[in-house]
Amino acid sequence: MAGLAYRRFLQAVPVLFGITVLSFVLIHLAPGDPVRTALGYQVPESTIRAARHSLGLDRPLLTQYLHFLGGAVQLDFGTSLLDKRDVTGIIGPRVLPSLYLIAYSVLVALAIALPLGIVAALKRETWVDHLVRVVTMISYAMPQFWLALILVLIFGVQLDLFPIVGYGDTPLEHLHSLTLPAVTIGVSIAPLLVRSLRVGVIEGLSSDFVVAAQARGLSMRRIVLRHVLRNSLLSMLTVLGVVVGLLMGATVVVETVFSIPGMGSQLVRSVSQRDYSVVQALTLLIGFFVVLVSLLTDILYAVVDPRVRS
Amino acid sequence: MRYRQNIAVTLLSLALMALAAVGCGGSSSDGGSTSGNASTAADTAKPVSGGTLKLVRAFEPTQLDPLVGDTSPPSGQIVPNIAIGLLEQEPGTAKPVPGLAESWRFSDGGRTITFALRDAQFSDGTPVTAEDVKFSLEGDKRGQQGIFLSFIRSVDAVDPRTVRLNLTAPTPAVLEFLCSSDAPVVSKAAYERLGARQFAEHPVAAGPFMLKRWVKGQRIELVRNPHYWRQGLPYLDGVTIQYVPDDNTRNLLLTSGQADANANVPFSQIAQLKGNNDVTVTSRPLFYTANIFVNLRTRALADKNARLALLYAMPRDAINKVAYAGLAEPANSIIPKNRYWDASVPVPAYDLTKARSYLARSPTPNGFTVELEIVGSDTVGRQTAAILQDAWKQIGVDLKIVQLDASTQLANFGKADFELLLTAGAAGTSQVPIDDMLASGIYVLVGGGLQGYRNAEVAELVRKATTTQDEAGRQAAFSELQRAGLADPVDLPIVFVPGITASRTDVHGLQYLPTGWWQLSQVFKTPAGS
Repeated sequence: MAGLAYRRFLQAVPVLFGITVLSFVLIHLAPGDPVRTALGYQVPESTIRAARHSLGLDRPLLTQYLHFLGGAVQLDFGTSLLDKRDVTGIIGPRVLPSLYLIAYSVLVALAIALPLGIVAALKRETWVDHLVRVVTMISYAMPQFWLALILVLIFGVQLDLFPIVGYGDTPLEHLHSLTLPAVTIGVSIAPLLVRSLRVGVIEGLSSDFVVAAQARGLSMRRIVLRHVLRNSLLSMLTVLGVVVGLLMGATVVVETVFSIPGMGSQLVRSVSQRDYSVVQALTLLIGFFVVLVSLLTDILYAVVDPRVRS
Repeated sequence: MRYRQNIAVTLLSLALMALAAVGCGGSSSDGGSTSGNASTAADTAKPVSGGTLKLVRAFEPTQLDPLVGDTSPPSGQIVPNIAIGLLEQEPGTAKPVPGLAESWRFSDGGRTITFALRDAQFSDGTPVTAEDVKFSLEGDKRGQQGIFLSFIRSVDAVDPRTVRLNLTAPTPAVLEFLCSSDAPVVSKAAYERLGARQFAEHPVAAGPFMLKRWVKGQRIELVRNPHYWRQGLPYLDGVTIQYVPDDNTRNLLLTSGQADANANVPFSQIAQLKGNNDVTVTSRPLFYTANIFVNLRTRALADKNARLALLYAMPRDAINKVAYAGLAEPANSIIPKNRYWDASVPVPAYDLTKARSYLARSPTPNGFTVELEIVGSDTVGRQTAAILQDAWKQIGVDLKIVQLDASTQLANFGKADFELLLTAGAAGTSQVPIDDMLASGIYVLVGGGLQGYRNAEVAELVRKATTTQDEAGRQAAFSELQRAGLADPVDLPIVFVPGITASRTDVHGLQYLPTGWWQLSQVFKTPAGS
């Protein structure tokens, strides 16, 4: 297992390097000037040049990139061009809200997907199976924005069970505040997990060891939960790893509706304002988390399937 | 002069920031309209002390340091409630009224002003002295000296309660400048003790409120300053400003009662809010005009007849009805309505015959194609552009609408790489509501420097209007400028943009100055059941 983790980590280094190059090139290619954005419409050209010089923006792109890379290795991402604050001070408070939200969303998705996927597989081609598939299709097609507002209206306004906005100050408040956002995301990703789990359970149920277990008189409940499920999880794990990776930085819609100070909304804001420092740092950080999720998925895979460890 | 160049910085940088401020209300002693459940009883409600006001707004400030002079609405709406200066803006009129200064007198031909400070204290209980005023107004802190203070040559602390400002030249609008967000007075001792960075997070000043807590990305909490010099004020114990980027979520918070006021109300939501008996929607004039910037280096637009054709083919009433929910006012001036606005100058009427006749006199009598850059996410801009496209087509002008993000539009403007440009929200604006600044900016600095506008008569009128000390002379010059500006327009004025406030009916005294700032010291909430 340690060897697996070590190999995956080594593979992540060129991936992260590629992310820094790509994000640097893309943000610098985008039209717009962060100095103009910060200083306004008509500022004398001399002032613009002086500001760009003081920020190092007039140096060759390669020099700027190497400067960024050198700082990044030391976890120094410089200063925001707009806020004039340390980039780590801007990004830091936004990491945990995003991670909590994603983790909570995954738990909600699993709480939905596990029972539905198993039931749909066991009742294959019955009205139960069809109902599960139709409902999950509808929830998959539902725009997150719309679902978020419906949940806000019902559970936040009319029933007043959950806060509509914000993140709270204490862990309990975080949990309370993130419930509606997590349900919004969880409902939208659960369909993918339901489908993959359903297929996995159906395949598992047709395996020889299941026939043998039935012949030995084991109950179907025990067969499914203790034998079939473990084998069926592999495909769902793969899907889950990809989905969680996509969620990193892609929660901006939910963060906006619920006013959660996360990485997604900060990334969108920084891109629109051409705040190069923050954009580069955030894309690197999000890339790191994606790589980490991929590594964890591989490790979990090995935990579930002993064949992978060898 | 540096301050004149920097006028344009504020002028046009605020144009983009005004996307947020368009949702804010402004107060005026006349012209405000209220709907929803705005009964006369609410206007005469007796002030009650206590309670916390919960405000929601779309954007979070980048910083709250009073010495930076950040004029963007997110900061500009909060800092004046923490830090005040020698003078303040009178609610409703924005006229300079005594703040930390009780009285003042001019001398030396207007080059010197001597202020007598009142007996006031900072939020930490230390007295406000002339040394604090000198520290706050003189010199360049943060590397961003307030652009409105560059007319101050030096500041003398004559004695602890007397401070003398020595100006570079007699400045007719000096008192208005001293009301601006560039001129707050802060505690010198606190600044030196805390250091610049810490002071920016924990400013010590003399406003009605103090900064209790800033939870980045979520909210700002203000509490009453117990040492505020106005006895009995503020009424509120505190104010919580929550950042809610989504328009619909803010609306839900207000209508459900979980927020007391919404600072950014899209025009598209006004009809729905007006039908809610628990919400008051107030529309008040702001110091904002929606103008289309014209790049006169564009061949088709260089001739004034072509620009006049566009001006008279502009259906302002239709734009007002569709984009501004009927609450805006067709503009008869490029400079926003303020002290020297002349109501007798006619609004360029929507007259296609007249527009065609102007076009016939231009070098492009058969029409031309021109591009209009708008911010793609700006609903008002999109609606305005669509109406103009249809209207101008009727006189032979083919309008191509180019949707950009705000940063790209700003960069294009800075490089003069555009033909027509409509900023999100409004174009003419200033946090110092005096006409001088915008006249210089619109016609000379930006108009002349960036847009290629050359009109000797207008330039002379600007000089005359901004340097004449006599009030009647200034009014006459500004009136003439207003007319001359429409006879040879550098920008195409559309409407005077109103500020919209939506608050619960138990909230009273929520004052918006014409600059879009809040004045929260006189806000109070009537208890439930009263």
